[in-house]
Amino acid sequence: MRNLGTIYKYEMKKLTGKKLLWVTAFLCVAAIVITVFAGLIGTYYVDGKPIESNYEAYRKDQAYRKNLSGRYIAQELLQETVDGYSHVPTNVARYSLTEEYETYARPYSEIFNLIRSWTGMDLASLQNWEPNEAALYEARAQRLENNWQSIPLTDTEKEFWRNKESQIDTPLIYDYHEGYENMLNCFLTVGVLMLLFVAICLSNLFADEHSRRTDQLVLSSIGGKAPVYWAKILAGVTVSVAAATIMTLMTMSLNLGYYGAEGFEMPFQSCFSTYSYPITIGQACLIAYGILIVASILAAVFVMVISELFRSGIVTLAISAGLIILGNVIMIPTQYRVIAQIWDWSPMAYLSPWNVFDPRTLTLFGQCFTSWQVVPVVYILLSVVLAVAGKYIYQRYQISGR
Amino acid sequence: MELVIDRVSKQYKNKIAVDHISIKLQKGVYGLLGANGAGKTTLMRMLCGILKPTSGTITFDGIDVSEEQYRAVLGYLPQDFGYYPEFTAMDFLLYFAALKGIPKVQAKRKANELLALVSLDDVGRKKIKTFSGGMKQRLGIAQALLNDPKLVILDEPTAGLDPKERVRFRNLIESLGKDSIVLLSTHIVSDIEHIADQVLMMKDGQLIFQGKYDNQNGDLEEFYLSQFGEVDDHA
Amino acid sequence: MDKWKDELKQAFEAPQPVRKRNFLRQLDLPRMPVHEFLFSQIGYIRKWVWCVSALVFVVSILGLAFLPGTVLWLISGLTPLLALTIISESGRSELYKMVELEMAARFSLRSVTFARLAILGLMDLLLLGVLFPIGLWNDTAAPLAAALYMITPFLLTTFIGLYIVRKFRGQEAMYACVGISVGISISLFLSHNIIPFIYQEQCLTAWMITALVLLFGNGKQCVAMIKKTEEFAWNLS
Repeated sequence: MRNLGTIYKYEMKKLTGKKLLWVTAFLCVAAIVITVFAGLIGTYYVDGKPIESNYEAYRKDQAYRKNLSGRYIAQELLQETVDGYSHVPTNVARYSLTEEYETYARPYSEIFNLIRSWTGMDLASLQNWEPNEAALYEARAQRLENNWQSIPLTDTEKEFWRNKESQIDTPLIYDYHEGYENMLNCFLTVGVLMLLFVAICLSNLFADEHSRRTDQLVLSSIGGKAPVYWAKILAGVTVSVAAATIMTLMTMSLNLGYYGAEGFEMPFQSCFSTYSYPITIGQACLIAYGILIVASILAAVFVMVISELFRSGIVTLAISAGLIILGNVIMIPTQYRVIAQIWDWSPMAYLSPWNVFDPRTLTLFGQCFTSWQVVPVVYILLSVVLAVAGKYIYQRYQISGR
Repeated sequence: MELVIDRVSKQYKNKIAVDHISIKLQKGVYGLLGANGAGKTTLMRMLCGILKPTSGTITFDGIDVSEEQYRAVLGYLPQDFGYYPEFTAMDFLLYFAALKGIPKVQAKRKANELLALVSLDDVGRKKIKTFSGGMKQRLGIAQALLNDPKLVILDEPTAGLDPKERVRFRNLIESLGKDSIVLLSTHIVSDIEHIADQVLMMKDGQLIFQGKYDNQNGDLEEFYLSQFGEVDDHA
Repeated sequence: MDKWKDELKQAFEAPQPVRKRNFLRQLDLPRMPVHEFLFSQIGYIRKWVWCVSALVFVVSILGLAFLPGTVLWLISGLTPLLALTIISESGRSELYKMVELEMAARFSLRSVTFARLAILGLMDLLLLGVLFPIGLWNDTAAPLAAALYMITPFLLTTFIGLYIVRKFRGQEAMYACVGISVGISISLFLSHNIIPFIYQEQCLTAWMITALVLLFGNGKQCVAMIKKTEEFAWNLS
């Protein structure tokens, strides 16, 4: 394929020469900034009266979390938490508004949240609880088992997760990890923004050649079939991967820069309690955003192939946007295991922490593979298959009518 | 150098656009005349390999139209086509030079040469979206000549050109015809009259006349109308 | 049957009409009254416009039936798609380069454009009216808040869209409008999780001001559009 590099350069120029790409990129950047700092905007109101601004609340809780940083979620910390919460009166409508909560309990609210997510305890149960580290971890194990049962997981999968669970060191350690947790909270939004960016910027890459009628010039050239097709696909993939990478780096630098980069080594379970793979929260962020970049390849190839198939940018954009909206609206109940899993692992629905860190696995020859092990491979394979199918469509195109 | 069109047909659902056309073309300029819908564009698209014939074969010196090597010797100017608004004239030519497999250095030299030939050298760095219709058409012509084609197919090439440009363009085609096979279609009979060595006339997908126009008595326009039965209708 | 028809047609060829044009000129054709013209334009609104409107309605109903909780957010997110139908119709003449032809017709482009805008505006208003109680179903939002959540994204989309179709031409403008409307739509779906505070009671005034500003802005866009069609008319004369 002679001159592929030069053709690629010009295909990039066609893409990046569009105002729409830069406007979309600017809006995505703005949306990411808003998403990262959204938690700090606004005020907490009760009965129409302002209680505290979200920023004040964040500063206060941040200090408390930093105080807890580096401590094991073990007997001593549990005892302190229960002691702190024992001061809180239960005969009020909102205990979080009481002075006692502010003084004694709030410094441990993060630990109470964790206990609550593992055991389902409410305030009254906590106050009556005799702190017991072993019982707490037993309750967590039981909750995991129940969760696996309700999905439902197969026996092989349950055994796989039990095995993974045994590799996690307990008691878990708590570290200040705001930056990473917020990164995971932003993941869904950044994922949708990436898909939207790809849809808007690439829907007319192939279609434009037909609507501008430059296709007849291109296709009658010696390099108009294979080289142009691959150059276009490469250019589209470059733009989408670059966009996904920039979005990732932006989310990462804003979150870690503002909320703090400490806590990379904290076990993922100290934050995402229903997941049993022995990884740290920092690794979880890298996995999630790595998948975002791989997903951008599939999204780009899909949009471009559809664009060549329908030869209309508007139709392609409508289909892509429709799929993004459906991915966010439709939820298939987990009891329809196969359909639900396929849907949740498809690119329009997949980009959310609960799907990346999904207890459902793909079992092949008795081996279980987690979603983040399977999905990148499948996405890349699908991208290749789609790209080859697209080439077939592209080369078979006949210029008639008009 | 020979282009062989052998029993080429193109049929759409219930319409035969090109009906069993067989012809051999050698070096020189061929003018293709025909009314709207006669099948000229369809035939030209098939000659460029962008539309597959329903039946028949097209070969250039034994190379089939579907082969890459065929496209290597082809220069094509379609009847109606757009441009990339974000490209300059130079970008446009360099892009198509790359598509035609011309190495970078050679492409640059050739692009400059052609821009001068079509009098666009002073606006080579300007975006195409600022060009007038005639300028765009000239750029299209330059594009078709990038690879020194042996087979040049021009579909309505003089559309949008002013009389001065038209004359220059005729001269250009005439010189091209010395080394290549040039097939140009047009409605404008006078365009062909001056430069075509041979005239081909199409009606309802069929070739109804092929030969040198000066063999006929009177001017080509009258001959053309008589061939299409237009003279009677107007009388 | 068709074969017979064709054969009959060929066998009994109708004679050429004599002085047909003169005869037609003599006829005093009744002029079309405005309301009839308005109705006649309904037929020219493309099928997909009706399809999108129907889709918004059906998805809202399905959402109410199958999705947990309320569907106000869903309807709010779908209104930009509804707005797209208005924009697409207003930019359509330019898209297909029919401006000059329509301008020269008896009912000028201005009347044609505004007839279609009026029909679609009324239809969308009616649809939003029907969707309003569906959006309020099970929702704790006050009726005013619900109305604002539904109308504001709609107005925002029409405002930006009308600006684009007025300023830019052709396929590219239409493509940008589709991009903007899906962008606004998806942002609304996301906003419930990212910026929930905008749905607090305290933000209601801001919503109201935004809606009023957009209403005014839309009015201005429409006036600008009339001016533009007048400019066209002047240029053509």
